[in-house]
Amino acid sequence: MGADHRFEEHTGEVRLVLSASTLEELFAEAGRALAEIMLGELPVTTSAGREQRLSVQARDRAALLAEWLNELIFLSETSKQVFTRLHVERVGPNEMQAAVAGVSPDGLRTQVKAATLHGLSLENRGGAWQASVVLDV
Amino acid sequence: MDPLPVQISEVVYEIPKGAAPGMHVPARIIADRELMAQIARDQSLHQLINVTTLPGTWGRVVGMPDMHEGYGFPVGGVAATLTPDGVISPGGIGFDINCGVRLLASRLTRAQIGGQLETFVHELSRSIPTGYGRHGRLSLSDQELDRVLSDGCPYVVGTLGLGTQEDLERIESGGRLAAADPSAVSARARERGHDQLGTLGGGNHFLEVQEVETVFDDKAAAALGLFAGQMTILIHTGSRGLGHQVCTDAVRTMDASLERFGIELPDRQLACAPLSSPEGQSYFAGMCAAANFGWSNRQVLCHRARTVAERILGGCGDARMELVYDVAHNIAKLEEHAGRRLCVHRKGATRAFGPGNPELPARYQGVGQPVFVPGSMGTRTFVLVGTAGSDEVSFGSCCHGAGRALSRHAAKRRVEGHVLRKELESQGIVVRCPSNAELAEEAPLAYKDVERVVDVVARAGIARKVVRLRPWGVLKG
Repeated sequence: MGADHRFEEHTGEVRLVLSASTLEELFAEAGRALAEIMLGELPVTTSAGREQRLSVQARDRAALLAEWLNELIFLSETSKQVFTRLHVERVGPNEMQAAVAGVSPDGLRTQVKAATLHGLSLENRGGAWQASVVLDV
Repeated sequence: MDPLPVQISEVVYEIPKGAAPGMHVPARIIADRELMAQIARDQSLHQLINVTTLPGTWGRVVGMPDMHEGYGFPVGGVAATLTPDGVISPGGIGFDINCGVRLLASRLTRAQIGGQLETFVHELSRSIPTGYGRHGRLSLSDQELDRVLSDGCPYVVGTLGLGTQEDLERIESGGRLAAADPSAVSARARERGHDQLGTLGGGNHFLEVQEVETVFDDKAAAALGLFAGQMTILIHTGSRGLGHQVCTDAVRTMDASLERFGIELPDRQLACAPLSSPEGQSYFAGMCAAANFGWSNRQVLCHRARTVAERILGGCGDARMELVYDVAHNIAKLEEHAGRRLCVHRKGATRAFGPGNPELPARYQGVGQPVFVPGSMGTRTFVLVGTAGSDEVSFGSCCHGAGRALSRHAAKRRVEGHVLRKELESQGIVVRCPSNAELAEEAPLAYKDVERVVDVVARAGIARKVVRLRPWGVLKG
């Protein structure tokens, strides 16, 4: 089935809803959705830069999704990059590994402050992984 | 299904304690029928009920008329917990710690400024870094960042020379919370914030050039140094990435320690810890440091706006800009109410102390604390003053804006950015916003009616109207 995401209505923030056949695909899709929010319709003239490896830990799998997004938000802000090339290698119960590469846009369409734990969910339904996370924008 | 609020007076609704499981206190909402109907459309009421379940909540939790759905707490929510063992919840302050507004007043009128307005707004847009841009940032050494975090505006004014001693008297808490501890701010938060002092940021942050359009209370306006026709500048921003990371770090820590404290929550984003615990104390010290960064950020932006005003408008007359006040609307403060020491969480709510409160500077002792309620882009901003009655009703708090009524997506479906840009320009408003889509997201119809919101807080007796400001120019973050 691959992976998919959509943005659901939330009065003040952005609710991201994800589905994928594997956890690795779902986490990569979450990263791509984050890049989509950050870049919007802005043209990107640079190609993806140097790849970096990331390792993220959390209390549980749902929190791991929020931590993964918060890691990308932190790196985006401090390195002035948006990560568009994401390869999630492994997602365990409490940790994950990925390799990412980013572009350096002139500006951001939307600044994302953080991934929240509000209404956070991650579950397997009928063999497919589904998740929901609210981002503070 | 959540219990419905019961109207208990003209502009106050209540969800009584016991109406939902786990409520320690009732929830009150300050709204008229129209605003209550808007508030009930999203998850705000559910979120407000969730807040009443936090351990140590005292008295009541209060929803302001601009309330809307947030994460954990609703935006426009006020909750007080009893010290020392009631909880502090980072989600009750928000990621943008000490997001707030400050108002500057000039002595110039529109007639004096004439054709210089567009140049002025343009030069402000060149001097004030917005969004993601790298230009114009004040990059701090580790030592300088420590001083900003521990000493806030007194350091920015006294050592960096960016402002006056009079400014410090006109900032909530003098622009410095003494409980701040830079060592409670993580290396990651410092890395995010080290080059962000003096930046507006994105989202709904803005700088607006305005005119005093209507004076409702001559005496109070004079006390605030405001008069009809005068040019003002409103700055809305917060503690930027540094504050965001302080909150992210604390939510993670507190989420992991809930079991140890025996705390069960209806929403993980309400993660909290007793204020007296090491986790609570560490967050409070870090939040205070981020708050000092937020006030310092607005102080640097204020200095930049003053510099541009004197450079561009100096030929038009006296272009000095005096600070009216600076107030936070995402913060937790230790305050006395009803004889008790409370930790008052204000998430999208403004402190609104009445006359005679010892926290206010001598200049405002007789009139009350200035409160600023911006509408949406292109609509009016109200200046109010807090009342003695706000202490009893809302822990000395008032609303912080018009409050969103539509999501960003819904706004974009109904408004075309380029059309809105033309409409604003046809009203004589100079707009500096790079993206039409971003403009549409902040369209007036995405927000509640600010006139109605302000009318309700005045009728509830928590603040009274002083002047109304009309925008001339908007610089969107």
